[in-house]
Amino acid sequence: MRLIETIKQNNYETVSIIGLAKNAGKTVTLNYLIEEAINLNIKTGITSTGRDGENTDLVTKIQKPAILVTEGMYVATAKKTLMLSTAKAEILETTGISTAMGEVIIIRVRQKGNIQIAGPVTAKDMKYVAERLKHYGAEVVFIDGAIDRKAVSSPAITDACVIATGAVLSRDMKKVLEKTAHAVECCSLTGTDEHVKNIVRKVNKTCIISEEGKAVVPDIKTSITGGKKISEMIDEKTTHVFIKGAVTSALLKELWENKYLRGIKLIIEDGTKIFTDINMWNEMRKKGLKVEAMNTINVLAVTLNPISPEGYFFDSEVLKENMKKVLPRIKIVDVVSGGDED
Amino acid sequence: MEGIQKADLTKIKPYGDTLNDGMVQMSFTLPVPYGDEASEAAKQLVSKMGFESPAVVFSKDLGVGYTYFIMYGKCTHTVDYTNIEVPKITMEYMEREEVEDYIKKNIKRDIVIVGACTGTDAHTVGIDAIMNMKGFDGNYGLERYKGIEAINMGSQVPNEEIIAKAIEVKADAILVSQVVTQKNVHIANLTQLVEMMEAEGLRDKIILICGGPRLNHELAQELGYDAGFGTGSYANHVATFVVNQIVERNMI
Repeated sequence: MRLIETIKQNNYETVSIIGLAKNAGKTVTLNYLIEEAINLNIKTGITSTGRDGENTDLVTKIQKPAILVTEGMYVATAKKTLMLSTAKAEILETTGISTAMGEVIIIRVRQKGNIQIAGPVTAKDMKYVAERLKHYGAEVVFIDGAIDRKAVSSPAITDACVIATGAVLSRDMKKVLEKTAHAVECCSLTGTDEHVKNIVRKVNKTCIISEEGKAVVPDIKTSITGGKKISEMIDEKTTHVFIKGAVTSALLKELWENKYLRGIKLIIEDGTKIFTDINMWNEMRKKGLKVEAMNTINVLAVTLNPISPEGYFFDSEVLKENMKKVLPRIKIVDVVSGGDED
Repeated sequence: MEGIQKADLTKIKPYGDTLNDGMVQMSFTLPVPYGDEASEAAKQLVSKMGFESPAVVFSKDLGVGYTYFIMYGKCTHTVDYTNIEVPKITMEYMEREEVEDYIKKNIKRDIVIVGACTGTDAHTVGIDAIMNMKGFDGNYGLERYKGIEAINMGSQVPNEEIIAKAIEVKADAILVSQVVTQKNVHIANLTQLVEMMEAEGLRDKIILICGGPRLNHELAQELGYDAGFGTGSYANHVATFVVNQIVERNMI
């Protein structure tokens, strides 16, 4: 099934495109999705957490793909970027959300052309803007990420995500595969049991849950620095530990020192909260660390860009085959040379 | 003598000794041993870049089979300067005393700003110029401002630590100084801070600003920051932005 059909069939209304690095092919993926939607007459809304459609990359100064929008599409972008666009548009709303590029406005495209996009930078504002795009008539809203920022893929913001990866991650294909697999693993963590979810929802703070279903809240300001205190409270009766917010390497290391951790389940909000070193994570997982999430992120597909702007590339077939081996259950699309054939 | 020749702004090109001579000086290193062949390779490369009359004005043996070059070449392209639009934040910057008055009148409490060079970065010149008492170039830093509690955490501060500090002192704004180097390793560090703040649910509660020689508002947008201050920014620019945002976002 084609990507856009999967989106429609699952009734996903907001889809984020997140990259694992700069120049991993997010904009190419966005263009691909826009084109697919146009072919099926699906009204789309688009916005970006960063900058999109500018001619040259702000950091690397290399050429970037343009974004072509057609009549009837909805876009949320900072006012000043409109002056840099060739598409003609009607302004529907000024949102009052300020960004480094000016206030975010919502427009309907009147005449097709290229457009530059700079949407809200915070996940909270992004959620609001996506709602407004839907309100005006967008059936599916695509949110393009920026650099390697993934916060918008949180289920609190979008229904599903597409992960863009590619040669730019490393000259070593093994590393590209490893990093991509890790990102997908974080997104697709098993959802925790409903009864545990209920306990966590009630407390809504970092807590230690015992076999009787009692939740104890440690006296900490943030889990980032609270690892030791949390660890001290885990004992033989603990069944689950819920960490609200960021899960860092230091936190995980401190928890790991508690010998009971191997037998219990670590619960996190969702995959966007994981900031641990990949090697450490993989080693602990191998040794028996069990992690579950309050919300699982729906990964629709992984898109590949086999070319790195640093001047090297992989054979796209080989990259695709290897990626399929490490991610057998995920749809892999080479948006640069192939597209989605089946 | 005739008046000075005026440049045609619709067709500007580099200036060397005379207007529109297109002269460009560039330097690079080639992974080949020092010698005539290396110089010829450098000239051919510059020619391929589109420059006319490439010339080697200096070359040096770097050892281990590498050679360093300084080259001249004539640029044949022009740019229409009259048609350039760069998005900028237009803001009337207040002076220190005005910022202090503004805080007293409109915010009515002390505001807290935490700053640091994060990650591996140890280039504190920028953050010190903005935050330190003595400031820079005759402009006092934020520590000198009445009504601002400025906490400078120094260099090589991990993102976790600056977030923990911001929570502890209930910061209104975080100021991150970063030299974005050629390899762009610092970019990932800047975005990680944004992501961690999102994860902690703090991103919309704290004004997040980055600064450094290669940063500007456009890049700040891409990185997920509220503003980006580049070369030529002073403490009062940052302070004006912060106090305006506090009022605009109703963080009083």
